[in-house]
Amino acid sequence: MAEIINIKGGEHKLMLLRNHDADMEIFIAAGASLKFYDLVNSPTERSIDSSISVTIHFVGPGSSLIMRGRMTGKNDDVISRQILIDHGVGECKSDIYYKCVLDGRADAVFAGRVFVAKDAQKTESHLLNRNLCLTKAAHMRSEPLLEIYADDVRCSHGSSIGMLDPDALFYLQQRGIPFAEAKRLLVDAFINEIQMPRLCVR
Amino acid sequence: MLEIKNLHAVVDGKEILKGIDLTIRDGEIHALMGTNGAGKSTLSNVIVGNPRYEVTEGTMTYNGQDLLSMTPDERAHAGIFMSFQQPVEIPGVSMANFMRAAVNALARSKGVNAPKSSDFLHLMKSRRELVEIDQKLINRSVNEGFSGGEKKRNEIFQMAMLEPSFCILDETDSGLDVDALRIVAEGFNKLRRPETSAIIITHYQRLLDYIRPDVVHVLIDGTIIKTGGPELAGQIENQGFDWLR
Ligand SMILES: Nc1ncnc2c1ncn2[C@@H]1O[C@H](COP(=O)(O)OP(=O)(O)OP(=O)(O)O)[C@@H](O)[C@H]1O
Ligand SMILES: [Mg+2]
Repeated sequence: MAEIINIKGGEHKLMLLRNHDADMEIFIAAGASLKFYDLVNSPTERSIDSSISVTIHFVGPGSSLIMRGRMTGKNDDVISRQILIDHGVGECKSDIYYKCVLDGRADAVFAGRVFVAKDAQKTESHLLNRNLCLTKAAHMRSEPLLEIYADDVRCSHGSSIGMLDPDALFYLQQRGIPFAEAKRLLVDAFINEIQMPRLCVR
Repeated sequence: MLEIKNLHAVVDGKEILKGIDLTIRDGEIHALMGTNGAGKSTLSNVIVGNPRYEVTEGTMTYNGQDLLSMTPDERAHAGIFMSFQQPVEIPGVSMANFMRAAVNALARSKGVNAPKSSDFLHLMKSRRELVEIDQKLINRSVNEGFSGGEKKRNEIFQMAMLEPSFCILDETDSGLDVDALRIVAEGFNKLRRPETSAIIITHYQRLLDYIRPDVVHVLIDGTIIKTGGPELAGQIENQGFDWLR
């Protein structure tokens, strides 16, 4: 059974920590705004399995969603995000940005789908997922998808999977910064673009 | 003293350096000239230990230390600095954090305490003024959105921060306007100690008017085909390389 959350009027914040329940469905009413934060911080000592599916429905006009994901996986971690944004009504905005860093043999999936119904005019939606794989054994699958049936909308989506830039790494080392520290500087630079609210950072 | 003997190096399976012999004593400035693609940047990268380049033969020591067995950061701590021909942009890493990490790592390698915050900031300010680099640039991420000339000036700023004993300037002059070239060269001369040595890679005489070389080498197709005095640079600028081949 999915956990059901109703967001009504005003501004709301929701934070998902890695052991939060696996399946949720959120309804955003007219004029409401939701900031949704999703943090996965792999512990060093053991591997985690963080699989979450979230469906978010816009059920009234004039509402907005900001969704931010910051995920780091290592060892044999398994991370999965199945996200569906349902723009069932028009004049709503959604902005989804997930970043993921994978080390060791970590395996992650980001499947994000934005659905814009035929009558959901003036929808604005941006879906972005960027990932960094630190090892050859780490594996990332990124599937952003837009499904648009209305014609007056502004939507974008993008995704990337990259490795650390060896030239940047070497540049830092040439200035005397040891390999491990240089690597950490670059990983932090990547992941720190996604800021979590204070409460959330552990 | 840098001592290179019979150095061979390959990139992507292709031999680029085909037996380099080069000795640079403390305090000496050596200019390195040569045709595009001759291997000048390759030689520089091999000296600083860029893993892209594989050394297949030869030896390389600095002050008696075997460079080939040292990591890039260890070579930097030994005093070797390279001003990159094409400095890389590193979004998300601030110049301040970058320099702090580099200065602290250098201090650690010497077994001394990292400078206090106030001393570090003072050092940043004085070195920034020395190379007349705008504070606005230093507030950004490393080289991000810098113009070609600004990147070169930033290389010399980093050199000023780290006070290396051996400097490789790989075409630091290209991309600099006339005034910037003078400022950068004067900055180098101010930082220069009696024991500081350098390899200056350039296609032009201009930079060498400010930083007078003791020796000029011509590198073509992976080997040094001629070594001469400072006058060789002017001859090359006027006559090209054909007369040397
Ligand atoms: N990473 C690389 N991968 C493949 N080939 C390379 C690489 N780096 C250098 N080369 C090749 O090695 C040769 C020497 O290049 P290098 O950059 O050392 O020349 P250079 O003397 O510095 O030339 P320039 O005056 O144009 O800077 C060139 O043919 C170049 O294409
Ligand atoms: Mg070059």
